Amino acid sequence: MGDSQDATIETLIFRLSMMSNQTTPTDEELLRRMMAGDEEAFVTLYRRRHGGVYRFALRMCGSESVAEDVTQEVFIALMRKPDLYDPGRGALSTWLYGIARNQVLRRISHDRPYVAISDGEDDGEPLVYESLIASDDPLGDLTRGEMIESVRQAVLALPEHYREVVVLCELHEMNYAEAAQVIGCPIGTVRSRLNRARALLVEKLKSVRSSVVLNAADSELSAEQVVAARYAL
Amino acid sequence: MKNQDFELNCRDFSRIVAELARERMMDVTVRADGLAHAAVCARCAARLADERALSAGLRALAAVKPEPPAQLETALLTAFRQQAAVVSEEPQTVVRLQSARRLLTSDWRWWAAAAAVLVLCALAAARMMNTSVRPGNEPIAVHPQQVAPAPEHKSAGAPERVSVKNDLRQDPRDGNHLTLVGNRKPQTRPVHRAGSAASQAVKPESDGVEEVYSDFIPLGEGLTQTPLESGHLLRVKMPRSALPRFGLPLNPERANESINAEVLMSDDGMARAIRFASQVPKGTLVRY
Repeated sequence: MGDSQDATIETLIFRLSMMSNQTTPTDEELLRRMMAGDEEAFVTLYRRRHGGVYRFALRMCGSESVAEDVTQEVFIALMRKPDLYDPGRGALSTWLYGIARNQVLRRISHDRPYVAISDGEDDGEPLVYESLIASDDPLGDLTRGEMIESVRQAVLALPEHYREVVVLCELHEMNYAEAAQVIGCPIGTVRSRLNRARALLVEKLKSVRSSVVLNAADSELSAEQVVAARYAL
Repeated sequence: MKNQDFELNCRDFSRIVAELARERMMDVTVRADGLAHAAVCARCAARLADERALSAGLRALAAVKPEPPAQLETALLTAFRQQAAVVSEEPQTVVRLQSARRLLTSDWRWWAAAAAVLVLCALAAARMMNTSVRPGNEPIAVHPQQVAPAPEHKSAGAPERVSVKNDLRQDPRDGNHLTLVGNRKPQTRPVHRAGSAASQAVKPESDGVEEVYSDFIPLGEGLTQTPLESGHLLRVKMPRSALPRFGLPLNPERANESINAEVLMSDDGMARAIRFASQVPKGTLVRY
């Protein structure tokens, strides 16, 4: 009885997957239809990929208006020069991220709104942070909103070549190979940059936490919270 | 020795701590060794905690998914429609071009006729211009002493009347002047076999000599003249050196001699055309 029920469930899952495959066209299929003038295909492709492109640009530059401009430029490029996409070199989404990256880096180099964290050393050996040895939760003293904002600011303060690997691999959950395609560098470079970027972020967030603790002494935080924060230091 | 192993393990741990904190797929043995090392090393345990906290913060940030404004989709959709309109216009342009090409190919006869008309107009204009500027167009006086008596076979006092079907023109300026019309090309047949051309008149002469005439050469401006329905011939003598002025070849050895000619006179007394005669033995080739 149990075996037959499992088989039925497997069959149902298989049928659902087949239906899903039949009703969900791939990006490449949508692109072909879009190039033939299919407006619905373009809308579907846009709605599928615009969020990732927009958030990548937003997390790279920190400006909504710039992120909107970059997103628009990416899809304008898609509709005007779709022939530039080579399926043999990666997924369409990777290509779109690559266009967005180029647009973002161009604007960042023009505007330079942020002061980057000094990375100190070259890629390679991860740093050992002696000051972090005793800490058990560098973000534990922050509320969730504060934590998110602190992480966002810390990511924005990273140098661009570290920031982009953090955004791609951590925030957009790309694997190293996909990130390497977007950036155009070897996979090992992505891995080493990510380790280095994470170390910089930990250090940055620790400094943020310490400032929060010091300010908390004069704020409405309870004595218990202040003690806990100082203990964490 | 034990301390060296510990430092080595810490260095190895630092290489995998990010992977441990990110909770991504990794080798089970490596993961177990890393967690075992963190369990016995407070320093690496703290490092792992920091990394895990960072991963949590990054996951929290990634969970926030801002969206672009809806106007962006509207603007892009408008751009796509404009792009599609441009693309759809391109085939129409091709169709238009194809239609034009089909017009050119199917109605080529009309185009050929139009081109021929243009060429004829251009040639006529060029002929008129050359007539007005040609240096050898000065009038040729017909001197009374050059007028020869009519041949014996003609009736005395009655000029030979001919019926002219050619569209001959006369000099409108002066009936006493014979003018070479336009840039008439030299005779394409400088050597004539007597009696071989139907257009050549062959008049029998005595002593086995015959007179071979060239074609009539129109005189006058031509285009403004009316067609000649009838007229009479006036025989004259001219120096051979005048032949080139009528587009005829000249034999240098006989340049000082004279040549018989017949001028076609219209009823109004205007010279319309001229032809030259050459006396040659019967059956010989003629070269003027």
